[in-house]
Formats: sequence, C-alpha cells, structure tokens
Amino acid sequence: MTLRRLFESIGSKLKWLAVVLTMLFLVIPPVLIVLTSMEPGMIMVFPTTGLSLHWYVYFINTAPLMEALRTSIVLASLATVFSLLIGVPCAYAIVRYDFKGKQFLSTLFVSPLSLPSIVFGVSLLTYFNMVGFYFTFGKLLVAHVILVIPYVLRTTMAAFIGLDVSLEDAAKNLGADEIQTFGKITLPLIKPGLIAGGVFAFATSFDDLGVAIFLSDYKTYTLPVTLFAFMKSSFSPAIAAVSSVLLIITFAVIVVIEKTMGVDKFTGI
Amino acid sequence: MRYAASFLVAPALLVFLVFFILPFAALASLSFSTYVQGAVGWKEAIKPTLTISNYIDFFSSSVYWEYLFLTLRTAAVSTVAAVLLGYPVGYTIARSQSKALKKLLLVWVIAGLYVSSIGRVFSLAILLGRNGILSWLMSFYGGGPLNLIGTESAVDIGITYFLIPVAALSLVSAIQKIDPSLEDAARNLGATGLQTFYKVTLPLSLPGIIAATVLCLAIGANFFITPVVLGAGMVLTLPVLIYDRFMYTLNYPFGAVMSVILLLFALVIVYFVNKILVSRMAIR
Repeated sequence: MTLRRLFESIGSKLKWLAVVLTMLFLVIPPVLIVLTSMEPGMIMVFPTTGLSLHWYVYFINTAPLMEALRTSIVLASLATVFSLLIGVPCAYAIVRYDFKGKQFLSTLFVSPLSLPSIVFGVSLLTYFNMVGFYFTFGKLLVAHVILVIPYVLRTTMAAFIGLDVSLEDAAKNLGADEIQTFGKITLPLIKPGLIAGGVFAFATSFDDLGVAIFLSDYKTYTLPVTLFAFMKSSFSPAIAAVSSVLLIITFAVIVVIEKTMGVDKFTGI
Repeated sequence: MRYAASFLVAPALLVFLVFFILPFAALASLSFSTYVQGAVGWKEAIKPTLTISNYIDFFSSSVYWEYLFLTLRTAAVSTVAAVLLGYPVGYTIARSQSKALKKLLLVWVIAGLYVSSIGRVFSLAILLGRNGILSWLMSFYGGGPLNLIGTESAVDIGITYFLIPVAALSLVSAIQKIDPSLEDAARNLGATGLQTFYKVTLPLSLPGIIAATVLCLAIGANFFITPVVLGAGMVLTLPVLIYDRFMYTLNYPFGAVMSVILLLFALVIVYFVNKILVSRMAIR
C-alpha cells in the first residue's frame, strides 16, 4: 500500500516537473536575447559584459534597419486591412448561408496555414516571373493577404457563430433596415472577433520570412528579411536588439488579444 | 440567398484563384521544365518542356534520398519530443482546478506560437552557440566551450522548441473532450490517480495524441529558418535546399521538384488529419 502511494506521489511530482521544465524551456531563450541585446561590446557573449542600450540606438540610427521596419509596418497594416475586407464577408457567407462547395471553400481559405510557406513563396516567385509582374510591394501584399486570411476567417467565423441571430431579427422587427442592423447590432457584437483577427493577421505578416524572402528586393526588404541577412553575416548584438524589438511587438499583440477577447478561443489549432 | 452568398465569397475566391492556385500550377509546370546549365536570368535558364527527368534525377540520387530522410528524421525526432513534453502541459491546461494557472499556461503557450519566430530562432542560436549559456554553464564543470550550432541535434532542439506549443494546444482540446465523469467513475471504483490516468485518460486521449503527432510531423518537415540558422549550412533539409536552388544555385526546375515533394507530403498529412478529425467526430 505504501509502495503504491510512493508511486502516486512520484507520478504527480514528475508531471509537475515536466510542466515546469517545458515552460522554462519556452521562456528562457526570448528572455536571454533581451538580456544579450544590452551588451555594450561588439560581440555577443553570455553573461554580458555590462548593460547598455547602445545597440537600440544603433538600430534607430541605421537607415536600412529603420527603412525595413517601416516597410514591415506598412505591409502588415495593408495586409490586415485587405484581409479583413475580403475575409469578413466570406466568413459571414460561410456561417450564415448554405451553398454548394462551402466545405471546399472553407478548407481552401484556411489551407495557407498548413501548407509550407516556403513552397508558397517559391510558387509565387515562379508565377510572377512567368506572367512578368515586377511591382515588388504589390507581390508582397497579395502574398501576405493570402497568408493571413486564415486567421481573420477563423476569428470572425467564431464571432458570427457566437452571435445570436434573434438580436438582428429584433432590430429588423423594430423597423431597422439591413444596413442599420449591420452597423448598430452586428458590427459592435463581432468587434472583438475582428480585432483579434486583425491583430493576429498583423503579427503573422510582420513576422513572415518564408514568403517575403523570395519576393522582396533591395527597395522592399522587410525587417525579418533584413534580420536574416544580418544573421548569416555576423554575430553582432545589433541582431539581438532587432530581435528583441520584434519579440516585444509580437508579445504585445498577444496581450491585446487576451484583453479584447481572451486567448481561450484559440485552443483548437 | 444563394446569390448573396456567392457575391460575398467572390472577392476572396478570386484572390485565391489568381494568387494561390495558379502559382502552385506554375510551380508544378516548372518542375517539368528543363534547366539550361550555366544560363543567366530566369527566362534563359528555363526551357519549357514536359519531362520527368528532374524527378528521375531526384529519386535516382542516393544523396537526395539522404536529404529527404534527414528532413523526415528531424521532423520525427522533434515531433516525439514535442508531444512528450507538450502532453503534461496540455493535460494541466485541460484539467487543472485553478483557473489562474490554466490562463497563465495558455497565454504562455499561445505566446510560444505567435511571438516572433525569427527572433526566437536567433535566441536559440545564442543558447546553443559557443558563447552561449550552455557553454557558459559547462565551464563551471570544467567542460570546454560547447558549440552545438551546425549539428543535427541543434536543429532537433530548435524544431522541438517551436512544436511544443502546437502539440500542447492540440492536446488541450483533445483532453477537454474526454468526459470527466469517466475519470470520476474510475476513482470512485477505487482506482488511484495514476491508474485512472493509465487506464482511462491516456487511452481516451490516444486519438488526440495521434492527431497532434501527425500535425507536428507536417509542420516540422517545413521548417526553414531553424535549420538554416541552427544548422549553419551543415544540416541540409529540403526547405534549406529549396531556398538554395532558388536563391543561389538558380537551378529552378530542381528546386520546384523538391517543393512539389514537400507540398505533396504536407497535403497527404493534412488529408490524414482531416480524416482522423472527421472520424472522431462521427464516433461522438
């Protein structure tokens, strides 16, 4: 009996040990990189030889890096807006109407999530070369709209499913027309879903390398592409500083989601 | 009503048709083209043909079989590690009594999915490199500088790192679907916590474990930044080779062959996952 109890307590302790170690493994590298980014010297070492914001100042004063940051922000913002514009009506149709090919379409629109982004990148590179389309920013934009649509679709579909249709019916019975109903009832109720979808879309576009690396040129390097080029050539703490900026921005995104609609909605991948 | 639906879906469908489906068709046609050796420029390097010789080149070369095997091996090793480490986390999120703990772990894991991946790959490079924390810790025990960068183990650790959140999250929903009253019943009948886990929870979460494994395999085979940065040009998985063929070697048709193979692998896996999920729903 005591032996059995011993096993019980070991089993439960092992479970907690596994949880704690796994969570530490997840969090240590990002914390580490923020620490190393404060290295004042020219080479990254651990532990750092001091603490300074030297490399952040360098980031701000280096034109190509700031240019890349600007490109990334503009690209991610536009991709978010366009994906919402074409994604939200689509989500509405899929949730509210029954039509032929609905299953196929919803599978198609979320498939960019599970297909290798690098293969999507080279297929677009091939395609644009074949048809002779050379407007780089346009290439990046359509690629990112497709890349982020799954996130928009998933969150807004969840919002439409959670929306009580009788509320809209009530508004219509009280004399509101379609547009008024949408503006005064539907939109405010699905707003958290739209925000969450938009924020995920922004974060995904902002972090993409697999597609952007094949489509951007020297005038339209995004921050991840620039960072990747830096990584291959040097081991400067500047990379740690840029990475930290990326980490902090994307982490802020998670916090925004948690505050607007709660992260619980995203448990089923 | 049906017209309204098609009107709402049309813009997205058009975008996907022109910029998603057609590009994949273009890539497939490229894989059947002929590469003109030594030619400079896109148009000069590719002769539009309909030949399977690129595929024959790939599958008749033992080196490429090795690269293919390496890709699947790193994905498989990382998947096993990620599911093993992700299960306790997913189980805790699904079953913990404390709401605060659930929330904390969930935010933590979701951050692991969405916080900048390129930033974190670089942080792993610092962790595992010569000047890294692992090397620093080793020096206290009299070990020399340790540099894992450029080894397959570093790539395995990196892919595992990114797959843990994927595995944990897909297991959360699988474990949540298990009726807690079954576990209660086992306990009421005298089973200990450990027995309940092995005889009830674990077998019932087996479909979830399979789904998580398959999902991780599909994602793990597509990692690109991780093998490039942590493998430092020494660990040549298919995504690394595709990047090389399109950006440096400029043998586009051969790069297209490898892309098609990787894509087919992903499609088979996705189909498999859907089948599992659908059949699981049918049972319920």
